[in-house]
Parts: sequence; C-alpha cells; structure tokens
Amino acid sequence: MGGAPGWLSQLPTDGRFLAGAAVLVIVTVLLRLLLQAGPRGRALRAFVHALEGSVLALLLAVMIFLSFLQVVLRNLFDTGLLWIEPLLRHLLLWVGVVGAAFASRSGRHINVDALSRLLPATGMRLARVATNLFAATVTLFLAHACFKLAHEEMQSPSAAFLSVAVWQVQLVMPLAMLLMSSRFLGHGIEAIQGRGLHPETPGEVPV
Amino acid sequence: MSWFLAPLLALLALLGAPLFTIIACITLIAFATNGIDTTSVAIEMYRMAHSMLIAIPLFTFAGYLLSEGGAPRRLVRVSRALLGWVPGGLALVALVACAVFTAFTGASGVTVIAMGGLLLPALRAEKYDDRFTFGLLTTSGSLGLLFPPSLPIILVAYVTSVSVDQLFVAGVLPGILLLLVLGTYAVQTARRTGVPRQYFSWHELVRAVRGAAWELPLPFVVLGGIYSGKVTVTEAASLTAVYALVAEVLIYRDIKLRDLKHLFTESMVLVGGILIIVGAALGLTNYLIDAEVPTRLFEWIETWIGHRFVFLMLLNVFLLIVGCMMDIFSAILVVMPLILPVAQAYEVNPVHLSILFLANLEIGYFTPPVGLNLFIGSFRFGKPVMELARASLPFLGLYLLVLLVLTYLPGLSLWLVQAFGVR
Repeated sequence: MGGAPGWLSQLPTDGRFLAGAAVLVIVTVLLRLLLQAGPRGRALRAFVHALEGSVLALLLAVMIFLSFLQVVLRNLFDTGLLWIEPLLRHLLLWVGVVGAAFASRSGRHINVDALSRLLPATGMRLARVATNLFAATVTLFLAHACFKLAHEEMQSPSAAFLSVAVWQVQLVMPLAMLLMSSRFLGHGIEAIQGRGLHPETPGEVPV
Repeated sequence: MSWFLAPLLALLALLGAPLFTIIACITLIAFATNGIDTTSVAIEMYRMAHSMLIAIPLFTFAGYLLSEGGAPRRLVRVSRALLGWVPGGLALVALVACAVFTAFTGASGVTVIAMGGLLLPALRAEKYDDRFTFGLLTTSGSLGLLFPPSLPIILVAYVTSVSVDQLFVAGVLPGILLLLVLGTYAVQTARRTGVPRQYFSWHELVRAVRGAAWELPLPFVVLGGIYSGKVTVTEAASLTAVYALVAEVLIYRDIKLRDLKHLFTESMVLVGGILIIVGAALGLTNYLIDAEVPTRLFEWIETWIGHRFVFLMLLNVFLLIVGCMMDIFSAILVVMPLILPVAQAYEVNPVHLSILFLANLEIGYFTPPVGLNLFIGSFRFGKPVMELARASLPFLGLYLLVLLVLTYLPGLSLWLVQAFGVR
C-alpha cells in the first residue's frame, strides 16, 4: 500500500496547520483579486472553471459506466468485479466535495435566504459579507479536520480499492475545503468592495 | 451551546449562509467543547462514501437529462391525449405529469420550472381561473415526493435504516390518495368555472404515445425492476441514467453531444450541494445521539404528552414548521434522526413515521412565508410571492386534510408493505 511522501506526512496537524492554511487562503484570494482585472486573470479563471467542470463530468461518466457494467455483469453473467463497489463509493465522495467546491464559486449552495430577500440593498450586501466570511472560516476549520483524518490514515495506510490507499482518496477533502474557503473569502471581499456576484449561467434553477 | 451562539447561527442561516457551513459549525463547536477531537467531523464526513447514496448522482443526472430533453413536453402530450376529455382534464394532466416528473427528478424546484413553463400557457388558453392555475402549478411541484424513486425517500431510508424497498412501497397509497383528492378538487373547479371540454381522439393518443415511445417504458423498467426485487436501487439508478442518456441523446437527439458536458457538470453541482450537507449532518447527528439528546427530548415531551394521538398531532405541527423553514435535505438529515427514537418510544412505526415526515416536507415546500417553491414559482411566473401563497391556500387545505388521514390511518402507509411482505 502506498505510503505518503515524507513532506506530506510531516506537515503539522495542530494549530500551525490552521495558521498556514489561513495564510494560503488569503494569499490565493489576494492574488486572484489582483489578477482578475487583467485578461490573463480572466483566462485563468475560465480555465479553472472548465477544468473543474471537466473533472466533475468525468467523475459522473465513470460512475455511470462502472455502475452499468456492474449491473450487466451481475444480471447477465452472474458475476461481478469486487473493486467496483468501493471505487463507486469513493467516486461519490469526490463528486460530493468537488461538486460542493464548484457550487461555492457561484454561490449556489443550498441555503435558506428568507431574511436577506427582504433586506434593502445595503443590508443585503452586509449579509453577503457576513455569511461569506463565516463560511470561509468554517470551511477552513473543516479543511483542518479533514487533513487530520487523512494524516492519521497515512500512518497506517489501508486500501480503498485496487492499490489506491484511503488517504490518497481522502486528500481531496481538505483540498476542496481550502478551495471553498478561498472562494467564500473572495465573495466576501467582493461584497465589501460592492461588486456583485456573477452567476456563471444566468437563469440557473435555484434548487 | 452557549446562549448567544444559537441565535447568531440562526441569523446567519436566515441571511443565506450555506446550510452545510451552519451545520458543520455547530458540529465543530459541539465536538470541541466536549473535548472530542475535531477529526471526528471528518470521519463522519467520509461516511458520505456510502453505497446507498450512489443512487443520488445517477438519479439526479437522469432527472436533469429528462427535464432538459423533450420529456416534459411529450409526457404532457400523452397525459393530455389520455385525460384531456375529462372535465378539468388539463388540470389532471398537470397533477399527474408533475407527480411523475418530481418522482424522477427528486428536486421539485425543477418541476415548477420545467412543468410550469409548459402548463401555464395551456391552462390559461383553456380559460382556467388564474388563481387556480397558479395555486395548482406552485403546489404540484412537490407532488410526487412520495412516489419512487424520489431522492428524499432514499435519504430518509438512509438515515432511518428502514429498507428503501419498504418505503418505495409505503409511499404509493398515500401518494395516490393525495392525487385523488387534488384531482377531485380540480374536476370540481373546472365544472364550476365552466372550462370547455376537449374531445377524445384515438388518433392523437396513438400519435402522442408513438412520440414518447422511448420514454414511456422508463417508469415501468425502473419501478418493475425495483418492485420485483430483480435490481437494487443503485442498479435501478444506473439503468435510469443509461436509459435516459440513450433516449434523449441518441434517439430523440433533443440534447446535442456538445451540451452534454454542461449537463453532466450542472447536475453534479446540485449533487455536491446535497452530499456536502449529508457529510456535515452525519457528524451533528452522531454527536446528538451520543449526547442522548433524543432520549432527553423524549423524557421532556413525555411529561407533557401522554398519548400517541396528541404526539402525532404535535409532530405534524412541528414538522410543518421545519418543512417551511429548512430545506428538505437538511431537514431529513438533521431532524429525522432526532425524531425517530422519540416516535419509536410512542410506538409509531418507522415506516409510517417516514411517510408522515415526507408528507409534511412536501407541504412545507409551499407553506408561507419561506416555502421554497413559492419563491421558485414567483421567479418563474413573475408573480409576487404573496399572491402565489394566497393562490395555494385551497390546495394547502386539501394537503393538510390528506396529512390528517395519513397520520391517523397508519394502515395507508403500512398495508401494502405487509400485503406484499416487502423487506
């Protein structure tokens, strides 16, 4: 089973991780805000958007294919591949967190915004600042919790499916949380600056 | 939790903070103040990699595909050819089409958007009263939550550990009762307001069926597979996804290949939104159960309420409030595990409880002031929320009536399960 590379398993898991992660998130956001003005920043943004979308689409495509393969094998040939089921479960984890990260880029998380709809423009802006900064903080702590889990797994690696270790699959969790944190912080700063949130595709179904 | 944190978090939630961050924040604080390592939050989150939930992305994708393809149009055409000649036929069409559609897409907001757009002009052209039309379209969005293979049923089964096959059977009679009651009202209204009747035409029926020939078998394949026990729910979800893909992209070609990637991504953004709530809620639930909150809740309630009858009534009131304040997924994941042990102490059957829970959330979708479908409807039809809320009132009354029947006739939820010996 794959052990973790030295630098990864030696990362601190205490408060120092939190501090480092916070710095990382803030620097990322500042860089993004600086770059955003220029055409290169926009191109980078579009590239990340497309890349993330492709990853999501690919994850789903693999899920559909493998689950269908399993149905065919089980019902027509009375056999099956043992690794498909655990692989599907871990793909689900990836879809969940990558999808959630994607949802944060355009503020499309499930929420109850009963109150903010009734507020005047300034109140709405304040609400966006407060909720986004709050979400950025929580996801930062979640990144810490998720990293600690993956880190514990690294100490005694076990197999998730085939020859992939559980910690390798789990690493997506802290990464996605950091990405979400930086996105929420970015939205918060944009709200402070008074710039609007531009949904990727207008008229999206608000479910 | 300290006294100022709860109102602060409630405020943040109402201001529009993502629900999973609220739930995760409560969990993190609860764990930290009780000296439990926060790694547990992540351990619980990792549990979202559960075999039963694999059905969620597959069904959601199939629902997106069907709603973006021509399925709503063809479904309405077939039901219109079948039911259009009945007085109030088009209203019945709306009810049936919305129920089928919500069951398959699982997210009723999608139904209001897709079906509302199709049915609104048709209902208006047939001179249905505007108020009736808006009420019908806003409330029918959640109709169908009780029918398989709706996502909320799968989630309820997941948190209650009731078998999903049982719930798929248990929801059928309550769902049909709801359809019958609303259908009767629709027919009565159409008669009273003198909506002209359509002629029945075999010719049109044959053409409509032929047009939808590739989609009509889908419900039978899925439901037949599940009810016969030949395939599991996950397998049924996989079959649905592949079937919808073949039908919409290869046969009907309503969806171009180049648009497909966008649909893949979009559907998974919704799934990500649901799953991250699942992940965050699992931790909170686990903490609350470890802290014996349900037991204490029961002891507290028991001092006030002695009888199951009263308990069930108050449960409905409570769940209606939950349904209009919370979104359906977090309600299922956070509230259901708390209620389940309490209800069991009052000897309420878990299957019956699950159906009541779903029926209440179904109603909560359009209960003012914050029912989600009121807002989606307002966005789709360009009408003020309050006007839609007023238009929904007669329907709300009927839903509540059915809810009462479901509450005090557990047999409606349990009879089919027992009759067929579903496990």
